[in-house]
Parts: sequence; C-alpha cells; structure tokens
Amino acid sequence: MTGTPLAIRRILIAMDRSRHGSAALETAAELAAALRAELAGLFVEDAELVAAAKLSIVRQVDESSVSDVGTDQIEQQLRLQAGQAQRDLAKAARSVRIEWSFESRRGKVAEQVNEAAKAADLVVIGKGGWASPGRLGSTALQVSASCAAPSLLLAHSMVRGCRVAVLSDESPSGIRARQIAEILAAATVHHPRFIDADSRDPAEEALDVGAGLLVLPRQSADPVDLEALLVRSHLPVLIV
Amino acid sequence: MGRELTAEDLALHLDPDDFGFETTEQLQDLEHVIGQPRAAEALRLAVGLRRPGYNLFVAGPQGAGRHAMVRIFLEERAANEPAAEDVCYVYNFQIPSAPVSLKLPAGHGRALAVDMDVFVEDLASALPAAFETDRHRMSRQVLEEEYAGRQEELFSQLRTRARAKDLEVMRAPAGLMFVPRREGQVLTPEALAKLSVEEREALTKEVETLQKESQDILRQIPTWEREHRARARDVDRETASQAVDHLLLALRQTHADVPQVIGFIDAVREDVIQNHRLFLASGENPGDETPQVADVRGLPLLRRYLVNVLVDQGGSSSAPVVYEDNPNFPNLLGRVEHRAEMGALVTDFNLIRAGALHRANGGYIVLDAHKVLSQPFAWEGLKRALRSAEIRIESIGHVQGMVSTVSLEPEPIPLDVKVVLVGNHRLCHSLQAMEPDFADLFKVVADIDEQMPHDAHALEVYPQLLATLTRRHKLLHLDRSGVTRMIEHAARITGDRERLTTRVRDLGEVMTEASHLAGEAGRSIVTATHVRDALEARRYRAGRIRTRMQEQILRGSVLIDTDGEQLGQINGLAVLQVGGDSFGRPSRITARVRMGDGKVVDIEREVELSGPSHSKGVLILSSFFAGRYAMDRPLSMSASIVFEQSYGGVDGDSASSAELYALLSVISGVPIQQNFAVTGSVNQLGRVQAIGGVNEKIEGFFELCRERGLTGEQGVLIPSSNVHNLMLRDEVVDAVENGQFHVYSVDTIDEGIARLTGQVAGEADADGIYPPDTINGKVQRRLQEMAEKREALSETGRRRGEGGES
Repeated sequence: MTGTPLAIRRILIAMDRSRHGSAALETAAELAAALRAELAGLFVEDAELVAAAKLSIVRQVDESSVSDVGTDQIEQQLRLQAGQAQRDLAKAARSVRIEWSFESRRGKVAEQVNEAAKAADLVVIGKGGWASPGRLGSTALQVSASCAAPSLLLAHSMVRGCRVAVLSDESPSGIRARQIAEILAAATVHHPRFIDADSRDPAEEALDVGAGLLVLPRQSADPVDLEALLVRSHLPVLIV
Repeated sequence: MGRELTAEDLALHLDPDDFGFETTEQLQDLEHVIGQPRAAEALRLAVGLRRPGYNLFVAGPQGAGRHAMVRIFLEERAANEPAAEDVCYVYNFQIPSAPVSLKLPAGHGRALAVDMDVFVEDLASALPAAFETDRHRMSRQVLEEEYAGRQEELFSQLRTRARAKDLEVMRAPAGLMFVPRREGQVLTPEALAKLSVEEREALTKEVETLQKESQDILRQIPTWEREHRARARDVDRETASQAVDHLLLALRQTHADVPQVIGFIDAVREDVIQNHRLFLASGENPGDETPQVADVRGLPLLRRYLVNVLVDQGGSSSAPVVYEDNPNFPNLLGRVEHRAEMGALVTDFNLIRAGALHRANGGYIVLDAHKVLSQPFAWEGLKRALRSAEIRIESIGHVQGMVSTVSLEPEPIPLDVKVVLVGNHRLCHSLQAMEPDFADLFKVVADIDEQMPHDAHALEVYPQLLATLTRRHKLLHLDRSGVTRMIEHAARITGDRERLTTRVRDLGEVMTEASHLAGEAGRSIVTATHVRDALEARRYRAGRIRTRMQEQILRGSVLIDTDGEQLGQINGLAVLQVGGDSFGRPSRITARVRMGDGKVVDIEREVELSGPSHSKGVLILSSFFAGRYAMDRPLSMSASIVFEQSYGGVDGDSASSAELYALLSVISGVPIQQNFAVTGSVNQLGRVQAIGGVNEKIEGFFELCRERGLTGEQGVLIPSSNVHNLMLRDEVVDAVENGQFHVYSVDTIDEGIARLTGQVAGEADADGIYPPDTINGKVQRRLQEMAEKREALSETGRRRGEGGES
C-alpha cells in the first residue's frame, strides 16, 4: 500500500510474546477502535529457528535444563505460539469490538512483516529485543528502516487520547507524517504539535509539549540517529 | 323490710358550679399521670436503678393510659440524660466476614460517614492520578532501566562471546539456542557434517560452554525479577501512601479526638496502600505485567472504606426513648440485608441494619409484651441480648442452627438499655409463673390501677385530664356541665361512686363522639347534653342483643312476671356481656320442696349448666336451713331450684339470695310479689352480700317494667353493701324520684323476705323458736313437720324390718 494514505483502514500488528508485544497489541487494538480500522495479526515462524533445530549440536536451554530439540519439536512449539497469538488477538479485538484477521507465516521475521505491511496502512510492533528489553530489537530496527507502511514502535501502551507531536519537514515522508498525525489527532481532542525539523532531540521536545506519541518522517532521520532516538525515547514513535 | 333508697342514693350528681372554670380550654394539660401512685413508684425505681435485670413490666388493662404514663416518665427522665452514642459498622480488614463496630460520640458517625464518602470518591481518581505523575513514572522507569540494563549487560556479554565463536544466540519457543553461523547464515546440517571431527568437537564444546553460562544467567533472572518487583512495589507503595495520606490528612484532623476513628483511618490507609493496584487500570502501571483485577473500579472495592451508620444520634440532645411497634426478631436485634447480584444473594457490612435495641442503646425502649411474645424468636432474642448485655446481629436461621451458609458476623455491640414491656395483668402473671427468666430480667412490675379514688384531689385533676384528652384528640372543649357528665360517666365505668376510671381510652372515645355531636349541632363547646347523647347513642348501637332479649320477654316467649304473686317463684337478675355492651336481664327462678334428706338440688348444676360459684351459692342454702331451722333434728326436706328458660349456663352467686327467697316462699307457703326483682349473694348466716353489675341489673328490670308500664309498685332489692356502687341512668333515677320505681337495700334475708312477701320475717326467741305467724315460723313449722313425718316413716320401716327378721 504505497502512495499517500488518506485513511488508516487496516492495522497490522506484528505479534510476539514479549512484554512490548503485549503493549503493542493493546495499542493497536485501541487505535483500530478509534479509527474504525481492521486489525490484522501476523505471527512469523522464524525460518532460521527451524533451520537451526536441524543441527545436532544445537540444544534448547532454559534455567533448569538443556534439552535436545528437533525440527518437529520446534515447529510444534511455534504452532502453539501462533495459536496463542491468535487467541490474544481475538481477545483484544473483542474487547474493543473491532474486525480482525490473523495470519501465520514462515520466514525471516522482518522480511515477513515488511511483506505483510504492503497490505496495511499502519504497522504496530514492540520495539524491544527479546534479550535486551532496553535496546531496540533487530526486527523493530529492520522494520523501522525499510517498512513500506508507517511503523509504530513502542515499549509501553500508548496513552489513550494522548497529544501527538510530529516532526515536520517538506519531504514526501514529512508531508505524510503530518497527514498521519492529523488522522491520529482527529481521534483525540488535541491538535497535533509540530516540532522543528532541525530539532536535536525530537523525543525530548515531544515530551516537553506533553505529547504521548512522536511521529517522525523516515527520510528526515539518519538511520543511526533514528536508532539512537528509538532506543532513548520512552515515547511510542511512529516512523512514516 | 330493708331501706328504700332515694334518688340521691342512686347516682352521683356533681354540681357544675363547684368547678371554677368555664370550659376545659382554660385548663392546662396534665404533665403527670394521675391516680397511679403505686405504678409511678415502680417506674421511678426501675428507671432510676440502672442495674442488670431492673427492667420494667407495666401491667394494666388496655386503654388505661399505660403507654402515656410510660412515655411521660421516660421522656422526662431521658431529657436529663446525655445523648447516646452513634453506632457504626466498618470493614474488618483482617477478618472481612466480621465487621467491626464503632461507638462514637453523638453526631460523629454521620460526619465520619460523609468524610469517608468523599474520601472514596476522591480515592478513585486520586490514586490513578498519582501513578500517572511524571515523578512516579520516572521512578518506575529508573527501576525498569536498571533492571533492563542488568539483563542487557549479561546477555550482551553472552552474545559477544558467542559471536566471537561464530555462534548466534537465538530465542526458541522454550528457551535459548546457540546456533553456529557461517557468513551470516545458519550452518546447515550438511555443512556441519563436512567439518572435521576436531572442528565439530570444538564447536560442540563451545556450544556446551555457552549453554552452561547462559543457564547460569537464566537461573538468576527469576531472582532479579523478584528483586525488581519488590523495588517496584516499594515505589508504588510510596506513591500510594503519599496519595492516601494527603486525602486522609483532613480526616485525621477532624476526628483527632476520637481514637477509634484514628484506628479505623490507619487501617484504611494500610489497606489502600496494600491494594493500590486494584485502583489502577490495566496498563497504567508502566512496565507492569501483573494482571489487574477485572473489576478494579467496581463498587465493592470502594464500599469497604465506607461507614455504615447504624444509629445516628446527631440530632438528639437527650437519651433515646424508642417505641418499636413491630417487635419481630430482626426489628429488635437488627439484620443483615442482601442484594441480588447475577442470581446470587450477596451482602457486606454496608447492608447491616439497626434494630430497635441499637437505636435505644443508652436509653429506653418500650415494647408491647404481647407483640414481643407472639413474634417468633423475638422474646428469646430479647432475653439473650439482655442476659449477655450485648446485641449480636444474627439471622433466625443461624440462631436456630438451621442455616450454615457463610454470612456476616458483625461484632456484638455492648447493650445498656432499659426495657419497658407493656402488657395486661394476665400476661404479666403468666410470665411470672411460667417463664423462669422473667423474674431475673424484669425485676420491677408497675401495676396500673384502672381506678382512682373519687376525692377532692380527683375533682381537681380530672378536668385537667379531660382538657389534655381534648387537645390530644383535637376535640371541641367541654364546658363545666360536660366535664361533670364525663366524671359521672367515669364513676359509672368503675361501677363505684367513690372511684373514677383511669381508662383514658374509654373517656377519649366518648369525648370524641360527644364532640362530633356538638359539631354537628353547630356548637363550639361540648355540654352535658352532648355527652349524654353520645352515651345513649353508644348504648343504642350496642343494644341489639339486649333489645331482642327484652322483646322475647315482652312477647311472652320468656316468662317473667312483673306483677301479682307466686309461690316459690322470684325474679332474679343476671348480667350479660355481649361484645362491648353489658346489660342486666331478669330471670325467673323457681323452687320446689318435698320431704327428703336435707339436700338442695341445683338443677343447673345437675345438667352442668352452672359454674362453681353458682353451685357454691346453692350449697350454702342447705347450710342456712340446717343452721337456722333444724338444729336439733335432721333437715328433712329435699328442694330443687331452677333458672327457668336458661339454656346458656349461669355462674356467680349473685342469685343465691333470690334462690333462698324462693325456697323460703315455697316452704312457708307464702307467695312472693312478682313486682320485685332481687340480686345479692347470701352467706350461711343469712346475711346478704355484695355482688357485681348492680347498675346493669337494676336497669335491666326497670326497662322491662317500663315497657310493660310502671305501676309504682315495682322495684329491685339489692345488698346494702352495693349502695355505693349505684350509678344509675337518669331515667331510673327520675322514676324513683317520681315514685314510679323503687330500689331497696337489704342487709339480711329476713329484711328481703319481709319486703318480698309483705309479711314479717320473725325473730327467734331464746330457744330458737320463731313466732308461728311469721315467715320464719311457718318455715320452721313446715320443716319440723317434714322431720316428724320422716322420723315416723323411718320408725315404721325399722319396725317392719325388725318384724321381718323375727
């Protein structure tokens, strides 16, 4: 879904079992309800994980045991996770009474999310990595860098009806960022706050103006700076 | 012959001019109860003696002003005593099923409840708001980052070391996996197989080493998480405590002088802090994965901080005086209500409801004894409360052990109350005889007298009593004549000119009806005429049976003579009580005599239509005859007495003199004049004794004579000892005054028989012999004849018997 979005009708939620994933699902459901959009859940069975399970020297380690793991076992566990993800999605959707769909794919996670994002107007994803909750996860990083749809990365649930801050420039993505910000702001009582494109720390400025969401044009940010901002910011960040 | 009574003897006639007022409007209300010195003394003792068991039973007839008397006493006493305490129930934070009671100074309960309502309202928003402040968020984020940083550092080291060995740490569904990579791709099984044995062993060793290290890290994570959660909890508690302390600050200051309230506030504070999570919506607590309670914002959570004011004495400055009109078990002892929720009945301490004992605690409670005893378990509950000196709120089902479901067990409340039971004498005596606990719990009985002396003091206070009733019932006031008539009626109710009734209800009813008649006549004052008319109207309304019975006599269905003379026949007088009407009715009594063994046969008794008193009266007659006429020989007559046309049974001995007159008549052969009727009992010495209902009896015979036509010869014989009871209606008094009717008082049978027969009764000489031409002489002679005949018959029989034997 390329081009300038005039409306957000389909929100893709990339589901995993992390705590950021739970916050992402809750926020995605509330946004879908506020925008009257469909919520599309995506669970990706990591193909690398399946491939790794074929190696005889690889074991699965938890705090109490080291166990052999085979392809069948991994696939079964991933199916169970997908089933749980679908149930979580259904529950969240029911709680806000929205339409929903669910899809499970196999492949590289970021690739599959980016692929699915082509049919969505907005992607919501937890930003944390599984092994280091304070850091930006690899999937989130890849999605933020290359996703076709606007990508909302968050660590905590977005406060309902919060003020939206948008870093505005005149680039194509900057214009889209404003449009998206307007759409999101329309669901609240607040007008969007605009932050100077030259701002050194947009996240800090967004907090200063009382915003609960920062909208950034992807093209205006240096990838390294963007990663640093995403890591540093406690605000949900929407990359457009 | 007895004494003929004059009109003055027949009724009390007060002179209206003796009263120094025009109408009762000029009189003040009575501020005390009149005519009850004994009951008043009992009340004073019971009310003044605040010791266990000194509760009071006020015994007296209905309408005697029992409740008014108790009310006046108690309210006067209570006015000088301090207000009772408020009683509240609050949540028990340790044992939720046992709500805690608070006894607070009057007025504090309501104030505390209002304060807690505000607190609860504020708490619902203030606590979430406190958790949304930057300060709290930052505190939690610092913790989160510390925790994340700690994990990150370890995993980062692990990842770095793994990468140094060309291994990638991957998250598997149930743990971690260390996967060898080559050129960014996961090593395939084929590639792994191509490695040399040494390389594969080295790789395997590296993997195993990392697996072990990672396992050590993973094992620490739960401990870290616990530590992290504990620190997060501390931060949350700190935030919650600051928020709740701020809300409770004013409450603490307001109720600083009531330690119980401060204790309650401390408990509330601790509970709010302990359960602060329940006030927060899911997700509002940053980084918190703890599931929230589904109904965290629901009413049940907040209801626990409310205050249920059972008794609010805030508006009172005196001790409570409580009247419970429906003293059933829950109304007396309180109850726990339930409400339906999702098909189930639920309750909490806010649904505890006070009983009358709660409201009266520290003061007085007045209960109708009959109602208490007729309500299931109410008496038992009252006794238990008084014995234990505490009010324990339980359902009947639990008390009886029939229900075992979990319910609330509110903390019992110490009980200090004076219970006043009001009932009639019979109930009081029954309780004294049959209820072992009664004497312990109700040590004082106030015995209400239905009558008071008719003396100078009574004539002072009685008009005031009537004035009080007039105002209480919002009636027209009485003038002096109306007051006079009411006092005369008060004496008539007692059946004694020297007594006045204290049954104010009866007086009030007559006054209400008299006031109504006066109002209908367009008068603003009630006079004697209105009172008399009201009394006559009452008599008429209640007189259907009386009229029917009189009609039966007038039509000859029931035989009663009111003129002429008959041997062995006399008019007795009976009193019938039908509904609210009491009236006299003449009854024909006849006697027959023959030779026999000295027995007087009471036919009523033989057919079991007489009561024991009547039978006793008849048996006395045998003794009279034997003692007076047959001292030296056997009484050889056999007599029978019957109440003619009596089918409903008779009791009482008030006809025994009439029966004796009938017997004297039939034995002596001297007829009795039928224009007389007789009442009075007689002892075996021939003295005529007092009876009840004398007024109704005289009036009953008078009305019959009146209907047949007063001849000037008709009259009634009554015992002299009943003269002071005479309060006859004006109609009778007028007839006597005009010589159309007569009332005679007699002391002895001789006086009576002389009046009834017109002949001299006769007095015995020193040998016990009566003059032959007197009644007694004729009786004596007849009895002697019968004795002689009997002796002769006995002698003949004996001789025949002896001849037979020889």
